[in-house]
Amino acid sequence: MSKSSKKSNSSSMEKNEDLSQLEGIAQVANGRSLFSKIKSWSRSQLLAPFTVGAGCCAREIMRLEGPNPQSHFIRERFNHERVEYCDILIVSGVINEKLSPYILRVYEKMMEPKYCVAVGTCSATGAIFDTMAIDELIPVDVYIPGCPPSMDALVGGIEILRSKVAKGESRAELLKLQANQPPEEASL
Amino acid sequence: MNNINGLNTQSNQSNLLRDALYRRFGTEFKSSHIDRGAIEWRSTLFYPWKDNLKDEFESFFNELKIDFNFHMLVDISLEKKGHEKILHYGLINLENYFRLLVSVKINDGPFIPGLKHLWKSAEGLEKELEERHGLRVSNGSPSQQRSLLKKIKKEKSEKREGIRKLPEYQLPITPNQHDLQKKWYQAGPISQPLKGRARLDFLADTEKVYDCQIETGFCHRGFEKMMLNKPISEVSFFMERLCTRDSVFAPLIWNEALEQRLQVSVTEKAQAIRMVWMEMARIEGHLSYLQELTGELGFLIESSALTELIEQVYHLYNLHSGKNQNFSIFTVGGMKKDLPMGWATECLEVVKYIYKELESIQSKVIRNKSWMILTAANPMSATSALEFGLTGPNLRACGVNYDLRKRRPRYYYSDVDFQVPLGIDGTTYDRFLVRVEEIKQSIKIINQVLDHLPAGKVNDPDIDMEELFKKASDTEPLTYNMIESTEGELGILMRTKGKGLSHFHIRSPSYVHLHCFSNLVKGDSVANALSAFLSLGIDAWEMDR
Amino acid sequence: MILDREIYFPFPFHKRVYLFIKKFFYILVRFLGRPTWGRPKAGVKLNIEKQDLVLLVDEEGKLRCKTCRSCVEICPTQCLELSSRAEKETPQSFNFKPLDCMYCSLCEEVCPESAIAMISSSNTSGSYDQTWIRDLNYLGFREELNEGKGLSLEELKELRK
Repeated sequence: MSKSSKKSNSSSMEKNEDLSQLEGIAQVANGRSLFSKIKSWSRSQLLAPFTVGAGCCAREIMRLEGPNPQSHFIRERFNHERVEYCDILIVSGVINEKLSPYILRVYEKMMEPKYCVAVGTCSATGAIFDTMAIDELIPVDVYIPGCPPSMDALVGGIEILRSKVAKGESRAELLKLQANQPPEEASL
Repeated sequence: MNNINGLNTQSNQSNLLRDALYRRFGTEFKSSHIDRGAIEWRSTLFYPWKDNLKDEFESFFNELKIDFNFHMLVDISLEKKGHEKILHYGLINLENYFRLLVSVKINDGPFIPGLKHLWKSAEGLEKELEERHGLRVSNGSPSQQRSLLKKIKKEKSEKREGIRKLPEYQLPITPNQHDLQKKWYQAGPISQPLKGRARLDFLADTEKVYDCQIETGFCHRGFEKMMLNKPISEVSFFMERLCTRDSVFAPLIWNEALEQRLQVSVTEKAQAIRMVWMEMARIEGHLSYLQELTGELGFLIESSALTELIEQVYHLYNLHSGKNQNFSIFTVGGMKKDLPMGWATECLEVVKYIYKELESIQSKVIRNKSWMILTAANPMSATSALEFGLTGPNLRACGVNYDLRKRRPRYYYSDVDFQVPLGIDGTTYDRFLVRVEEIKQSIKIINQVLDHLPAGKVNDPDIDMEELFKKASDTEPLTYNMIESTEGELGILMRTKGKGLSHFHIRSPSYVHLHCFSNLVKGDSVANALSAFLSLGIDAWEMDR
Repeated sequence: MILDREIYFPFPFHKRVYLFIKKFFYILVRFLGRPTWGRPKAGVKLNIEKQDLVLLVDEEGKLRCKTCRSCVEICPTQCLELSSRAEKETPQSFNFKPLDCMYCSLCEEVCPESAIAMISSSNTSGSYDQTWIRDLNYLGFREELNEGKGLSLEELKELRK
């Protein structure tokens, strides 16, 4: 965020064009309108996740719904069927070169703004089995380490995600805004 | 005959078969001595590569199938020993219960004669050989889809364009003008009932399914190749992560194979505790199967009631070792930790609770008319089941009485009183019933074992692995071990070399069961096909290791 | 054993009516009356382990580690890094990557001085902004371990009872 504000103060000729960008950035960061704040707060109270992956960590995610003392802190459903109604992608398990086009297809169909959570070491960094990490395909917001992670760690990770959704900060949108910036001009 | 770890010795009929094989093949056939309960079958038949090998090969296997009655082909694996290549075939004769391992030497030719016309399970196993090692079969056609694509980690700055495209391959030729209504439908890997296991293509009308193709390989990690480079002390940590359903059977098989190789005996208390753990893993696997099937077919209350029962088993695991998955408790010679105080009484109470709740749940599903209509599809006959190489509860639902706990009992299974349930038709209803009954028999076993726990130590702390490896024989024999897991017969075939491994192969039941799916589905509707896939009990990580 | 013959035929009509009424009451009792968590009773302490890494501390407050590097050699995923000035001294830097770790606790079994251990903790997850390399101050002296003083062997044994 500091990078873009420094660039916008470079010359007076580009101030008008930069103002629209500043507004867009300010909306995402701090100075937002009241309506957008209410929208993102209500979106955070009931998340809509979509789970991908068949592995040891997938069983732990399915246990979050069931009769469990730790599941009293969570009210979401983790086995939605429709991708078009979902916000969040929860990835667990080994990622292959063969499975990646299907994951990207699912990611494009989801509602905006999009978030992503990586559960376990097999998807965060493919260190155990020397495979791909999900970081190379999709920008990730929250990491939950563990093999498999305990219920307390999962619940804590979802609380962090909830605070992020309430503020409206998603890594995918920041990367988009950074990509659209004009390149630096050489000094004459 | 020696009796180690309670293993029974061969029966009289298998001795007759062994003499008949010796008379026919002479010195090429060697059977292992019953030495400390080692593998009871082994024959090494080395075939040098000749010009007209194809005719001799086929007549040899033809003779084995028809004259000696080996009607199940269980495993094929390739071993590279220096510059040589050896193929190992595993065969079973169920009447006399005799197992045979046939090893064939191969030259560097491009083609191998196939055995598809004798055993139907050879089709899937040879396809695996082609994709992993590059050996083609002369009978079949080359596979169009590369099912194994594992990406090794590269730097993030490299571009990847090929990933964005979907794979392109040609489906078989569409039928002629009269069948224009038939189309190819696709059930992708990430949709709800499949959850990343496989991708199914159906050639279907609005009423019937005419053909089916399967694409696998979405969870491939290169497991067997990776284990050749690792030291032996780390292999058991990776074996826990082989299967997602339970993490008990795979490390147990590995430790037992090491005990066979290094000739170490297990203490009495550890034998009883290992039995308890095996039965608990079986209960957990069957309960998760029932939960998935009832949830898919619309009985949501029963499936949520079953999740509560699974939590009880996790509670027991947590009390002992602190984790409910990937706990490492098996070592060479026993277990790592002893049972804590009060665990046995807690276990007996939990098991009693599971028995009571299961009876109230099953009374709403069994003999329910709507459930019987939904699951009365996809029958399977016993002869085709044996040809496809099915084992476990899927085979017992067709009526064949084959259970490794009775044929090759280990530890105290011969002293415990339990029964093996059988089905009649082989429909999904039978497969469901067999698993419900097996849970009750496992509860019976746990009750009997925990009432008569022997006393003593749980492991031997004076074991030194380096000395044992020096004392072990220098000939580096093959060791094979098998166990009755929740879904079938899990096997491991390995050869050690110094302190590492030179050959490692796992026989996974999920991979073999997958290739009978297209036979099951033909002639029924598409909705029944998806529930038939779930009823086979296929595990994603065990299938594409 | 061969299963009963009755199982393969559906219930007669009068029993179906009885079971329908029974299912209605079962739903009411399950979701309104009884709690969804029948067993075990409240108060059972669960002993969760192997969630996070900790470096243990002497009675005086110094680390027990002597940089013998046996944990670095045995780790299957190579997530530990050590560096020190000289041998048999406390290390200068100790790096641990929690996203690479397999939580197998082989380093705990191998350590000859029992200087490293795996304990349970509840806040290991975090966002992408954090540094995902834990250094020596975090491993030995974070706030949860006796408010910055570190965890000793005896306290660890009491926790595990």
